[in-house]
Formats: sequence, structure tokens, C-alpha cells
Amino acid sequence: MVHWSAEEKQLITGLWGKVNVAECGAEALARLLIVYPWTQRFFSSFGNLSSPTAIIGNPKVRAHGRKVLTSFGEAVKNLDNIKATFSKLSELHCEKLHVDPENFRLLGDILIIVLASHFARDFTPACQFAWQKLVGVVAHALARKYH
Amino acid sequence: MLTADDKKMIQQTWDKVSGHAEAVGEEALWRLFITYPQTKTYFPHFDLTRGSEQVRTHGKKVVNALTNAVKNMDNLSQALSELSNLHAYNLRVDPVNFKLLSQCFQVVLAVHLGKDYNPEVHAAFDKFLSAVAAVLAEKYR
Repeated sequence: MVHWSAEEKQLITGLWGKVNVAECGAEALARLLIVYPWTQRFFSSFGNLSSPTAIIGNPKVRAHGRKVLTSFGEAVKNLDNIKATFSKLSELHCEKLHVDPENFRLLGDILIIVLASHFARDFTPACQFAWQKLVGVVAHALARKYH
Repeated sequence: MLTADDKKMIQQTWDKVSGHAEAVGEEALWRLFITYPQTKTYFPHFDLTRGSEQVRTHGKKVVNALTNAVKNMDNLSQALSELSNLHAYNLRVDPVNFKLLSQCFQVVLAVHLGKDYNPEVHAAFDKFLSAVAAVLAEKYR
């Protein structure tokens, strides 16, 4: 089980309370598809992904980004039980979606940058540490059921 | 591969922070040591407390090297040849750490530039720092 200090928990839940999940999620997914274009391979049904502008404005990207970050929120609500929280999702990503777990790490890093750009100085180094730890734990949990 | 648009964005972005080069470098290193404590193993000879003169000086050195890289995007291999030798034969920093430092630099840029660190600039910068990392690791084996 992952150990979280009281401070880390506070840094995570405190920041999460201020996050606009729909906006942030949409932005994070769009950036993933723009910064690492090969990740578009999973979204051939999403329509126009031909340019950064198209990706940012794409309603399916926005909706899916919101869905992904909402799900990520479950980790924040269940910091002491992240493995169990994502057990089913892990199986799904392996068996149905066939997503290389490396993509979870890429999205995690992107989320950090999105948070940094939104929260600026409030995204302190201590905050970054707690959040990088969190995205790492989530990535690990999502990869755990792979076979 | 860096396109002409990428290079323009990188240049413009770097111009915005070049005034605070020292602060940017120091903050990136500071975030590196806090976020990824294992990176401190490369600096046993440094005072790593907040505000350390050594970290500040080293941050400036790193940023100056990146400034040189920005000026020579068409010829990174040659421009960074000395640094590449240094990292391969002398420092031997495991290349995974270049990605960690890249992430920290990008966080610093995002913190300072906010919305201006938009997705396209983000993509260009990520590519640029990857290219720099690749050159630094070029001679490792």
C-alpha cells in the first residue's frame, strides 16, 4: 500500500478542490494527442484530429478528457485504496482497450503541466512532488492487472 | 523532428524567460531534487538546501547551455558536442534523468507563462528538450 503523509494528502485534496475537472480533463487529453501524436492511435473514431486547433475544439476529445479526469478523481477520493479503485479499469485497458501502460505515464506528466499552468506559483515544488507521486501510483494501478 | 514553426515558438518562448535565466534554472533544479529525490545522488558534493549558491550557479550553467542549444537548433549535435562528451565519459548521468529534468523545466515554464505555455508551445518544447537529451546521451555507448 502507498503511504501518504498528511501533508501530501492535503496538497492533493486541496488542489483537487480547485480543479475544474471538465476543463482540465479536456485540456490534458488534447495536449496528450498534440504533444505525443502517436497516442491518436486509440482515437480513430473521434473524427477530426488533424491539427492542434481541431483537437482542442473536438467535442469527443473534450468529453472523453472530462470522463478520464473524473475517473482520476476517484483516486483522490480513495488515496488509501487506489489499487482496488482501478482494478476493473486496469482489466478494461488491457483486455478491451489494449492501451500500452506507458500512455498512463505520459498522460500523468501532461496533467502535471496543465496543473502548473493553471495554478502557477500555487503549484509549489512540494505540490508537484505529491502530484507526481499520485500520477505514478495511478499509472501503476492501471497497469497492475495487465497480462 | 523540429519544424520551422516549432523553432520559432521555442525561440519566442525562450526569449520570454531569458531575462530570468538564473531563477528559471534554479527553480527547475530545485523542483527536480524535490520531485525526484533520486536525482540528488548525482550531487553528493553539493549543498542542496533551499537557496544554495551551488544550486543557483549550476542552474544558471544548465540554462546557459540550453540557450546555446536554442541558438543552434539546426545543429544540436555539433553545438552540444562538448557537453555530450562530458555526460558520456565523465558525468555518466543515467539518461532517464534527462526526461525528469525536461519535465521540471516544462513545469517551470508553465508556472511562469500560464496560458502562454499553450499546447503547441508545449509540444515544441517537449520535442526540443527530447532532442537535447538525445544528443547528450549520443555517445554513451
